[in-house]
Amino acid sequence: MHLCVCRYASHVSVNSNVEQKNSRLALKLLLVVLGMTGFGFALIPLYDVLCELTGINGKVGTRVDSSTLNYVVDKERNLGLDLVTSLGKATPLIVETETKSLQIHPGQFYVVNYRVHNQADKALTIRAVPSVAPGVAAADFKIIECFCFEPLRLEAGEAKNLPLRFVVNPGIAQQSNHLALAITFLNTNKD
Amino acid sequence: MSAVVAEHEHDHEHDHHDHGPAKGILRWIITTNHKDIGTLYLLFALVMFFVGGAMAMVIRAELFEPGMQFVEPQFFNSMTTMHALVMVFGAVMPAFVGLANWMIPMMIGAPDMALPRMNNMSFWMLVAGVLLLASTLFMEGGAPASGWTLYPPLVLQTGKALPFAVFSVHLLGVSSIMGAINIIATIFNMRAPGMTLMKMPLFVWTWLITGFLLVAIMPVFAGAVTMLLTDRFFDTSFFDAAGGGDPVLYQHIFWFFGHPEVYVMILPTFGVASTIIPVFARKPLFGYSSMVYATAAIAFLSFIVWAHHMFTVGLPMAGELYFMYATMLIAIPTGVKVFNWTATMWKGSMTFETPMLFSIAFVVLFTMGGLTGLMMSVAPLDFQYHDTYFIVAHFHYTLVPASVFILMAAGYYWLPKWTGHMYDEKIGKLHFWLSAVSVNILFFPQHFLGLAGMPRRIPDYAVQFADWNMISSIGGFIFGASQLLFLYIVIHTIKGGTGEKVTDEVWEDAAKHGLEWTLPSPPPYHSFTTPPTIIPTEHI
Amino acid sequence: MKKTKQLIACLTLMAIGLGSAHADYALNLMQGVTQVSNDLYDLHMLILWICVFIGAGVFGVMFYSIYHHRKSKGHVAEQFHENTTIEIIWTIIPTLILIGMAIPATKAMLELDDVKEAQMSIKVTGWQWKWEYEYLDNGIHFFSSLDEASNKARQVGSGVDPRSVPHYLLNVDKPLVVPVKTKIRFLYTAADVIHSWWVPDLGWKKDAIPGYVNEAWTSVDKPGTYRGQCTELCGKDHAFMPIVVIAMEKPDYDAWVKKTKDELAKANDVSDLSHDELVAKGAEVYAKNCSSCHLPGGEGVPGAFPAISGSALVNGDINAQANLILNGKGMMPAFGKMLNATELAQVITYTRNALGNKKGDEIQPKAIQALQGGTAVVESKAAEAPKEAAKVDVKAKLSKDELLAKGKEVYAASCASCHQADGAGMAGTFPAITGSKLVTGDIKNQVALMSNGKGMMPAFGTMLNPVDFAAVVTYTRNALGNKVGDMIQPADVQPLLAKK
Repeated sequence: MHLCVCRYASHVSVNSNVEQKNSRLALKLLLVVLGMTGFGFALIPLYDVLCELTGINGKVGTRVDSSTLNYVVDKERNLGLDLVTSLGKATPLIVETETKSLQIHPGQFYVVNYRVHNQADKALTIRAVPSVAPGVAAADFKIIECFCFEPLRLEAGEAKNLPLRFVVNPGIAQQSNHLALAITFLNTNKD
Repeated sequence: MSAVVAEHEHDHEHDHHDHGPAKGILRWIITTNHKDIGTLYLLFALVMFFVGGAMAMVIRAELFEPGMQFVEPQFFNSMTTMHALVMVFGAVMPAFVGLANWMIPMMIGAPDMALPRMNNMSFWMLVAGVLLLASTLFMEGGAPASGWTLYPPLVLQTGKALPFAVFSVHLLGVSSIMGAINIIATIFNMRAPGMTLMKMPLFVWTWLITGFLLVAIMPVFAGAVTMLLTDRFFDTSFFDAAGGGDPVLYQHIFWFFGHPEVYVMILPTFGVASTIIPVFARKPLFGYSSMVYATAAIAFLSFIVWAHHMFTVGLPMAGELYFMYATMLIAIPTGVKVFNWTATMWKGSMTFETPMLFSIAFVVLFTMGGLTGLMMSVAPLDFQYHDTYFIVAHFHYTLVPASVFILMAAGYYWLPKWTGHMYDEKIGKLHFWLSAVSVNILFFPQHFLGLAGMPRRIPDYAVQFADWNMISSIGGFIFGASQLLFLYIVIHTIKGGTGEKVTDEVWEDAAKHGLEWTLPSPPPYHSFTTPPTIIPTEHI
Repeated sequence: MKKTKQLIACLTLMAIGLGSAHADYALNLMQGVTQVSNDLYDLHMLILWICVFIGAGVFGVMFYSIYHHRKSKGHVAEQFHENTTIEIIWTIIPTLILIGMAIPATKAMLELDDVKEAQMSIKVTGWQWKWEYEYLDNGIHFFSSLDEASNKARQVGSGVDPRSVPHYLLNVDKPLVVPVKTKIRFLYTAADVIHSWWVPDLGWKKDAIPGYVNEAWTSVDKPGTYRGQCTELCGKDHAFMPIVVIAMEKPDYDAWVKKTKDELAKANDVSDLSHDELVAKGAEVYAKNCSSCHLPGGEGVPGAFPAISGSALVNGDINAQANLILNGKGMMPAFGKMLNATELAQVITYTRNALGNKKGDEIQPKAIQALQGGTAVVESKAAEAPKEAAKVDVKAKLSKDELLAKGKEVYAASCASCHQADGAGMAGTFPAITGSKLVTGDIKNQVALMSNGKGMMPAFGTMLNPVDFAAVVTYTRNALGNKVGDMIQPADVQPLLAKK
């Protein structure tokens, strides 16, 4: 029995052949592992693209150049739009919108003003995150000008009026007749 | 018989390599032998089964009655989190890797695993990973308490333990990947002549597919937890809305890993069941090739159904419907498997030794878990079921009386082969009946709790849930205590068992079903030093 | 003894069969009180029966086989395997069953998603560990957390029998009140981590995710009280943030709205309280809002939540402590938004004079209000504008330089984001100020346009006070490349401003 062990284990011609095959396969599988690691990270941009297309979470995309939009105002359709704001934890702001809800026509450009007042006695860097409900309408909700694209700095006690300009694609689905634009103000100071 | 073997005959004078194991404790530390490493994996898994089980006992004790009796809520959350992580990564997965290490070379007629040194490394990395994970229990702020899914932003509130938990996941991931690469290489390159892919036992097939699943998903999980780490410590915002990230994205990445991950635990289970049932029904498996294809189909589907864990996060309508339909499809190959096992038993000549009892219980109780799975694949209904005890009941049915029962069955089935001793059948049957009855007392009432409105992961509940929780806890205690019988049996069998000398075949006509039964009991240190000549095809 | 009896009762119940449903032992999904929940119940029953039927079939065959085809009965194994016909059959039949299930499932999914034509909207925000409700249509806004009795009983070793607490863990201090037979749209978001809002009687749950908004709808058929819980693990007190929805007939609901609005107005009362009163009331506020993290004794949790007892901050400058509580820090939420000035004054005074601290000082609600920039918390939105207007001296005559300096600030804050800092505007979107016909033309026309707005231009008449308004008008005419040379005083602007 033992003799067999030795012969098998030490038989260079057979063994090295199989060993070579083994390490080659292991290497190939390692490449798959590396590829899947890359894929894991690639999911981040992929997801963003997918979100913009499908409106997962009502995620609103980035700034839209208004000159690229050729919308015709649809006076026949009236959509409800609620402007809601939320504050994250540890975000000492008072946020007001000039109106809480409005009726809009798809294709028409609108500006709404947000007034943000820093209640703290120190400067804050705020990130405003827009989100649209229903999620499917997010792709049709085009934000042209917004304070939500860059971090927003507010000095201690400072109040700012911030305009948000948007238009809704006239091609928006019929069932999306009542939208909500939710903007969450999050304090990014990490102390 | 091949020319290769004939060539062997000439070499008498080569230097000798190891004849057998090294002596003492060092044998276990430096071993590269597939059986030694298999044993290490299995024993480690058994220890972790009791560690994870102890955590489950803490959970069931706190839930025995309404009101907070024993632990603080935060510690309770740590317990549910650690129970899951320990059971998944410390017990069930290593146990199946252990079985693969022991059985695959013996089943395909190979002398050892393809990459023995890597095999040793992957085991010790597993130990390091699990110990690191366990050490978080003693850290400031406690162990992770955000559920095993580690969802941000909650997981980012973990105390000092977060980086350690993340590194431990890295170690466990690397260990699993190395184990999987080794298994794939062994199956592809080390088969005996004549052992074609479509003649391999199903256990080998299911592990081949599982190996590919692991290679594909573990890097994704490792990436996701790395992103958690950088979000917490290096100012990235992958999952933080304040920096343009999205917490739901983590859930997508996690479940892209997580759904195949649960199949990593169930596919080898299917493999073992398909190995054991034909032997005790004294019949070939009804549909070998359809079992292979069904396994592959389930593995494929596992990659395209992940968001069914996320029906309530606010997916667009098209997403809800797609993931519902895709998830429903899984029922088809899974049904094929269940029908196959039933057809294998049909008109057989069955005997009911402990491994068969556990296997039959597996088929019945796994089917129940599968049927509740079908219910929750219906997206609108998941808006009621999601994150309730109904889900807890569902996945425990597919893990405990399925994966764990089959691991028990595998233990009883192969222990005589591994040790050369017979286990005590009476105690084995007692263990089975206690487990089978108590597991249902434990998990069946959880269906009622979930439907009646009890959320999961809560340390305390409204009084209308009190009765079923008490029953469930009683079942849990009986189930936990019964497992000590298994521990006793394992030790007893290793030490000599009933004293009855077992044959090479152990079970009647087993050699027709698998190559491992052509070797002596216990088998030699190196399994097939010369490739076997006859490939059994009874299992096909 | 009681427990033993319960135990025996449970076991007996099991013994007589798990199927024997009793009113107290809910076994099945509840039917609920909405069309959706009823439809889902029917769908659930349909699929449950399909599953029972499949299970019974498979297990029937298996147990028949186990009973008859055993070696001990002398059954000899038949060696058949692989039968294409039967394999095709057992693939096709399940496929057909699945299609049969998918059709009603798709219908129910579409119904669940149909939020359109809602009659009112409620925004729900999840916090660790309470819910915030905001009625978008009438401005009612409050936080809802676990009721006192449950909160006391649920502490480890409280000694209180949960069975003695009515609706243990399913009761809140302020329930969500809704009218029946009204289509209500819910908007979900969260402030810290992910939560999930579930009332089984309504038929669904929805995740509340920080930074994102989700929606769902309901229309309750029957008046009543419906209870639910958070269903997404959200930390330590995940089990202790229940939901209570009270559905009322329309007139009752309207009465509730009126009453609640009055109460909210009253909460802005900031009259002084005695030291003892502050401490005594502060203990309640502390128990409800602080004790779950900093613990009832103030000892905190090392590594996670700092201790109150002996804290340098609590024993230091009272304004520093108040500022931290108002503005939050790290995991500590900004309580300025959640508590009113009186409650804040009470809890601050309490922490400095209890929990092992003996500072001896106090803070009054008015001082809190001063720290918050003079705005009341709950009704701040309505209260702020008139207050500012009152401070402004409209009669003052300002020099041109004063107007220009002030106008520059106002322009930067209110105009520059559209018309740009240099007045160049954005071609095609925002007209330039520089060289604008309107700005260089009749001053009254410019004031009228700015006051009333036009198209995208908001009506600044309601947003700026007369001084700021006059200043910015003067600025635009004499800066940004314009040199009209005239000016306007606040007193002249005031009559031209749009009526509020």
